[in-house]
Amino acid sequence: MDKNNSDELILANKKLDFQHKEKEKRAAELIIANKELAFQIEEKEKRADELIIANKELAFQNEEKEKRADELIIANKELVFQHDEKEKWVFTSQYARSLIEASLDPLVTISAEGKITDVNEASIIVTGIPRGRLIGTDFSNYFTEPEKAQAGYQQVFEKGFVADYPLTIKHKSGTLTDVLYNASVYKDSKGNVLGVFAAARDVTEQKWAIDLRIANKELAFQNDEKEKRAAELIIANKELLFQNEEKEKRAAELIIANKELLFQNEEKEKRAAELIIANKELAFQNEEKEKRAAELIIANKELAFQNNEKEKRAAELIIANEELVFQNNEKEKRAAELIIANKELVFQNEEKEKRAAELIIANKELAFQNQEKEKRAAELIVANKELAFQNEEKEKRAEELIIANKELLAFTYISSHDLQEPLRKIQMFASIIIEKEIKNLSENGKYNFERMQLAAGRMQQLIEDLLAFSRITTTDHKFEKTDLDVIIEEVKAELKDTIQEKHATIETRELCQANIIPFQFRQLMYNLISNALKFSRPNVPPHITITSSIVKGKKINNEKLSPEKNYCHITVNDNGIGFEPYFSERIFEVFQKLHNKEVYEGTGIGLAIVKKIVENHKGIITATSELNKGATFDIYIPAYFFQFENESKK
Amino acid sequence: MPLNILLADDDTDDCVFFEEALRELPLSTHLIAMHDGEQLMRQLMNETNKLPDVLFLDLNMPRKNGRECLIEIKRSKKLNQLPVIIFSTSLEEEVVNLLYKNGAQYFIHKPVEFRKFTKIIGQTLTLITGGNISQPTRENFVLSIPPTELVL
Repeated sequence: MDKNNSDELILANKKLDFQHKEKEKRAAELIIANKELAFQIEEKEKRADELIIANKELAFQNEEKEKRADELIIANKELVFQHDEKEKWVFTSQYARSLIEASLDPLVTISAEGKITDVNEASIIVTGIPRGRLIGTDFSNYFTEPEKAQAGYQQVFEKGFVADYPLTIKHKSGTLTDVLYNASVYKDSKGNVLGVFAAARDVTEQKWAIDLRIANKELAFQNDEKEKRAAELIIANKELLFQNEEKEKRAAELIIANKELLFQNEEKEKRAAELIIANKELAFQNEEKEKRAAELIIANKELAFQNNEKEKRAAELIIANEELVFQNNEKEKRAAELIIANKELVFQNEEKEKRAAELIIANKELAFQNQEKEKRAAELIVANKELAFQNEEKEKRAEELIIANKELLAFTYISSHDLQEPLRKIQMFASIIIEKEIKNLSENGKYNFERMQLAAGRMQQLIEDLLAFSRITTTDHKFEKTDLDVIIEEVKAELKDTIQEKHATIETRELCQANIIPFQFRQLMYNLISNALKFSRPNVPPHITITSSIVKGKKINNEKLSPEKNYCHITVNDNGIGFEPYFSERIFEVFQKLHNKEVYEGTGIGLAIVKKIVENHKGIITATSELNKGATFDIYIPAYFFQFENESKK
Repeated sequence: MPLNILLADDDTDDCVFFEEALRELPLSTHLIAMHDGEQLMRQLMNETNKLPDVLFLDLNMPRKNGRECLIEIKRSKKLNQLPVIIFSTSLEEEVVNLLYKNGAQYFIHKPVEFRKFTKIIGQTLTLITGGNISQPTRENFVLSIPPTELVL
């Protein structure tokens, strides 16, 4: 199959080659035919141009011929005239003159200076200039060659005569007359030369006749030439016609040749395409063949390797068989063991089924637990919603509380101020009466007034304390990092009179900075210090010690304090009358007094205020004492500076 | 030369007390009393009236309170040399500080005992007539009677 394809292909290529060569031959022939055609066209154009020139020449020649003919007619007429004129002059009286005048030849006399002295009619005619203007002028003026004319008459003067001296006379109008001059000198009777007598013989006619003959000969010759050219032209035209026919035949052939060529090209391209495909197929076939060869080599190598392996395996097989016998023995041993193992397995399965049953029960329990859990979760969501609602309520209550507190504070302030005014008046008037009317009062009366004063004073104090107490609970809490020393100094200034009176000493040790509400803390210290001053032992000057330090919560061992936090621990200690430990908590309650007012005045609110202030600072206060052994108040307030700083900036 | 004292207080009783106190004192005084802030300012600004030597000024007055009057007085070229003694029933730290800043000469918390009342007015007048016209320090701004000085 392949061989046939390649034979066909070879054949196709040979055909294609032959086609190519034929095509090229045709192309070459076409080029030659085209060159021939171009050349023929050029020749045709040359012939045509020559024809045009020949025709122009012919036309000119005809014109010339007619001119010559016309001239001939004129010449003949002139000749006739000349004859008539000559005959006339024979019969006139002035015979000599008439003879001269009758002469057809231009006659002229020339002086020694070369001037014309006399002329005849013929001279006038031939020059076209009247007699008057001729005479006296230079003879040589009227010739085409003046120098030759001059030489002529000079020759006459020298030699005495000149014969057939050719010259050409110039008519005024420009017409030329060819003449031959015969001239001689003439003398007077004594023999003196008077001048030259010249006679011109017009040889124009002869010339014309000669020229005409020549012209006619030329004309005849031209005509012959013309006829020859015409004959050639006819031949040329026939040739041209023939050439055109040939050209058209060639053009037709060319069209056919082009069609054939186009067809050949298409065939060629088809063959070329087939060839490409055939080549590709061939290339592919070759690749396949090479792949197969390579694979074959690999297969053979593999086979050789396999044989080696087979022999190795045979050797191994023998060893394996020996091993197998041994293994069988082992296997029988194992079988026995397996029976034992299976029995064990049966037992295990029973156990497993027991466990599975237990697991099912456990899962049921778990499912139940999950349900319970989901119930709890649902309850929790409900509870959270309730809580959220409660929080909202709480926030509303808190807001209402703030507003209520503000109103309360305003009310309290105003009412306390207005309540105090009558009290003050009572006190004042009482004191005026005591002073002024002391003489008019009995002891009893004085006593009564004094009691009244005291009562009013107590009421005033009570109102002040109540106002202070309410302020503690209702005003905004603005924490500031404050020096405790400063607070103490301010309190000492307020109490300076009492301190002086009682000769009290207030000692401060290592007071630090604390994060406090200054005005409240001032109130706190005032209350504590004024208590310490008030409850001093009789005749013992009060000695008050105030210290501060930072301690960690866990060191304090109080359940209300968190062990991890830092606290500022402030102590106020006095050497006063003290109190029973039993009252250490009661003293902080409102209106709780340990003595009646006769002994120690006081409203009983002071320490309640102190406790409230400490609570505002999120701290605690404890009192330690024993009767007559002074009292110590321990205050613990949280010591986070940075947090509180941020809060106070809000 | 009697001391010209101007008192501004809306409470009639307090004015009576003041008058009584002056009578008790050994000083020669002449008292004029005003009962509201606007009346006080009119009195002070009036060209025809002689300027008093000292003004005792209560804080709570109708129409114009004591503090407002103090500020106006201290702003006025004519009046700012007048010593102003604040004479008040209340004693609040912030208020006292503010009045000190506004230029009051002294602050007196009205005592509730007539004796003390008289004494403190006497002390104040002594201080004023002592030629001390500059404002004292803040510590000395609030005048008071030490308890030990009293003899019942």
